[in-house]
Amino acid sequence: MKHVGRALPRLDDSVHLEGRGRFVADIDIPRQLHMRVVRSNVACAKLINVDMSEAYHVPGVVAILTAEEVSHLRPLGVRLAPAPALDRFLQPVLASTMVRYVGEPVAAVFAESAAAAEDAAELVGLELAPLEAQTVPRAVEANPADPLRGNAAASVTKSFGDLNAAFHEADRIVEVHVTWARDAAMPMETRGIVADWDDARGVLSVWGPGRAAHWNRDALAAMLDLPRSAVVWRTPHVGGGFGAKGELASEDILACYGARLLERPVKWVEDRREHMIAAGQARDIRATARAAIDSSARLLALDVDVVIDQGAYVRAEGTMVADLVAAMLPGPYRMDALRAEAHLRLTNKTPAGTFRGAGRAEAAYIRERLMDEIAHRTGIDPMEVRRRNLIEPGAMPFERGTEALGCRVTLDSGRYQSLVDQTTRRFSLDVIRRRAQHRRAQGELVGVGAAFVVDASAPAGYEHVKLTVDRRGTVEVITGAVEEGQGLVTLLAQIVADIVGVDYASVRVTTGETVRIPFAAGSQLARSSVMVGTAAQHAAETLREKILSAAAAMLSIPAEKLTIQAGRIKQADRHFGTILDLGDLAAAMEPGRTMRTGPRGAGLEAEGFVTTSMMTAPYGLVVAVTEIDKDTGFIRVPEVYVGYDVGNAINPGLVEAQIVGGVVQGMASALSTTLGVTESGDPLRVNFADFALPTAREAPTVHVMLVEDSPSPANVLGVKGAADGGLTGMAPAVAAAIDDAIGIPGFVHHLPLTPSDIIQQLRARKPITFEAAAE
Amino acid sequence: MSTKMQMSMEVNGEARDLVVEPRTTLADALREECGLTGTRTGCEEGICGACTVLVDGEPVRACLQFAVQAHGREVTTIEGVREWKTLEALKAAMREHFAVQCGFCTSGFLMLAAGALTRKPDMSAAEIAEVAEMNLCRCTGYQPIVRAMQEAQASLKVAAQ
Repeated sequence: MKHVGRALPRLDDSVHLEGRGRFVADIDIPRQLHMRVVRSNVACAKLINVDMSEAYHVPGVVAILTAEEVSHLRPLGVRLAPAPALDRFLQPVLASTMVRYVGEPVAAVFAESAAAAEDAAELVGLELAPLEAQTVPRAVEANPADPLRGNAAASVTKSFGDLNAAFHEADRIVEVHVTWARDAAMPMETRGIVADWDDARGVLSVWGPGRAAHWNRDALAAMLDLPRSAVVWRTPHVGGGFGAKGELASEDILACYGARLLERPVKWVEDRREHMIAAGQARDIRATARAAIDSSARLLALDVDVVIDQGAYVRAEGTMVADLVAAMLPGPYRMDALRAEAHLRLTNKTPAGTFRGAGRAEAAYIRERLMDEIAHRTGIDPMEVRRRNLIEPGAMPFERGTEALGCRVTLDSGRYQSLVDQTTRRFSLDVIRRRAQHRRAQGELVGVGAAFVVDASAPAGYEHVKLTVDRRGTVEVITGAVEEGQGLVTLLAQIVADIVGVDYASVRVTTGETVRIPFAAGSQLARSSVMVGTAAQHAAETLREKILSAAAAMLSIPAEKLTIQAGRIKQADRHFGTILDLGDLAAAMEPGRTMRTGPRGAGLEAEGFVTTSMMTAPYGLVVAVTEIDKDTGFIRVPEVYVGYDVGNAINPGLVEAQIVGGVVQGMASALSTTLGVTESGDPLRVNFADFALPTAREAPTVHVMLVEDSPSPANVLGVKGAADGGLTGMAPAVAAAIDDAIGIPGFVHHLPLTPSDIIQQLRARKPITFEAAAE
Repeated sequence: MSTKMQMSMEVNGEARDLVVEPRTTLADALREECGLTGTRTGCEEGICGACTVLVDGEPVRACLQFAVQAHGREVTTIEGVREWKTLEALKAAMREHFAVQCGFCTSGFLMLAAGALTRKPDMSAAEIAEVAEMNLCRCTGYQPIVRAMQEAQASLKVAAQ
């Protein structure tokens, strides 16, 4: 039975369907202490004193740490794109003289129970002298209240071609100004960590959501002055990541340091309010984008300036988002010149981190809004404007001329125009647009909008996978990447099963454990399926070869006459008859007196490494339909159509699930989910009642067409990655659909767009008369 | 605060005598006192529904009830039900439709749907969608969950005929 390419059920469903999942909050260790973080409730203030006297009276309190006790711990460094210039903007483990956002950790209470820790934390008195908070990312000058550092943390520039010449030659220059408010990944499970210091063996064991488990291991070892082998990171089930989890944060370091200092296990699980003020947030951009076009609406050049509100500090993600925004701005279109600058500016808000589609969603929003504006200015159909500018298949792989995360941006493969045609035909998009026109003619506010996106899914890099076979014949896949719900376990099992010749359901997949595999780059963007999948393919090929040659030696039958089916070694040209069980072969290959095979090493194991030099670029067309209620301004997105090319789909069911989920997150980001602060820097939304996650009521019907037209040449599987598909194009597609519904091109230039924005616009257009109000 | 109260409830068919603080929520009592961690806490303020359990057969948010409110009642969690046709049908349909991703909201949705389908087996499609609106999921976009609930209902109807 072939596994790859089929929508087989996920292997870890039963665990979750029976409630047996083991998330970090479910892990308890005898003698554990519970940690609670005391956080600043002022956005910008001098920290004068921390009074712990009352807190220490709470029964069960064991210790309270402040900046003084952790002054020797260096601020957490940048994992992605580090640069010395960022050092002075890094977040200290605990605030010492200044607090710079509501939610900043100031002290950590360790107690016998979570309740005692919470009670005590509430009694820790913070003496703060409030200063004026900066809530709008200003230019370079420093906040007068916080003069020691400027506000310009970093700037990233990507450019190619002769920009001035292109703008000089241009037939027309089109410009848009767009903003997108703060949002956050907001997984259903909050962050947490359990740390256990074993003083006898000198090992710190950590259970936490590590999307970069190995980097976290090394960073913790360095920070706690331990050898790498003294830190073991294990990743339990992760209740959704989407960018919010897995980078080390102050709380993780405090828990690990506390465990070692107090010689007791420490458990920290944040509550939802903490998550909403302390976990990394995202988007929060304002951009000016100008396009130089010729008389037929062909792009000559793009000139874009993006300001990203980074919040109070730079965290482990460094300049990743700025880098990706600038590098991915040109997207799928041809142009002669580019200048894209992205500036990280500091404010007194929660530090920015990442959210699914990081940088690419922002780039798509800016660029696709600009494409719609070009369509409006030239009077050419928006889809036609895009079609004219799409890079043609003959030019693939296409050097974009920019770099992202230290890797050249190459569009590896793609038949962009064909995807537009196929999606249009499959979903009868022309009919959908005509129907919307017809309904508008009847007085309804209905619109259709589209966006073409190209994602940077797996930048060049490395990955490592190990395979083992035990005496029972069980094949184990070991990877440092993590399962966060995306289906990694299932797709790795599918890949390995086909090559090794076993049933995928019998393959065990171990993820996110540093002790089982020495190095791994981890899961981010949509790289797992591409990089880990390819490494697994290589490992499986090596394992197969090893199995067949060992069996050949044992059986004195040439290896090429043998095959493996359902975990049994058989003669390839016979229908019946098992010669050898995989488990028996593995037993024979184990070291010791019974070892019966040659010099191939001890045990039936294989490894796969992959280093790629080309990134993968999945792409798609996202079309959204909106319906707006004239009386309330409420915006509904009843239908979304997505045509998406992920290269070869290892499991189309998983890919479609990723796209559907991404669409709803993207829609929410465009219409409802937003975090923000008041003028004094106080968070406006700190719970799920205020942060309006969509429910099944708001969720659109999502129609997905997977296209497998352009297998990636960047890896042997021909896969491109799927995790961001769906989300990336939703914001611009919804924006365009709203413009279309209310008949004002370029109306949507700020997201999320709320019903009150609509109502204001409708009232401005048509003053309310008695008759209209009575309708 | 530290005055503890004695209470007893039936959890998954088994009598449990607990000594808890009055402020202990039912969710915390199930997770920490009974070791039933399949009941998840995502917000602890009654919005997300990841902690949904059945109390006397009705789906409730376990984070919004104090444990002592369940005194003398029957509580059913995701771990407690075996061979309950409604739940089995839901599980099969969830698997079929890729309705599980990270799994954090899964128990809550299952208890919600199983409770609702038991109370009213002949819900209309719109009613089923309304039930699904009560809980939050961040991974799936809901479409697979709603479809799974509808399919589970259909398969139960066929089985009942």
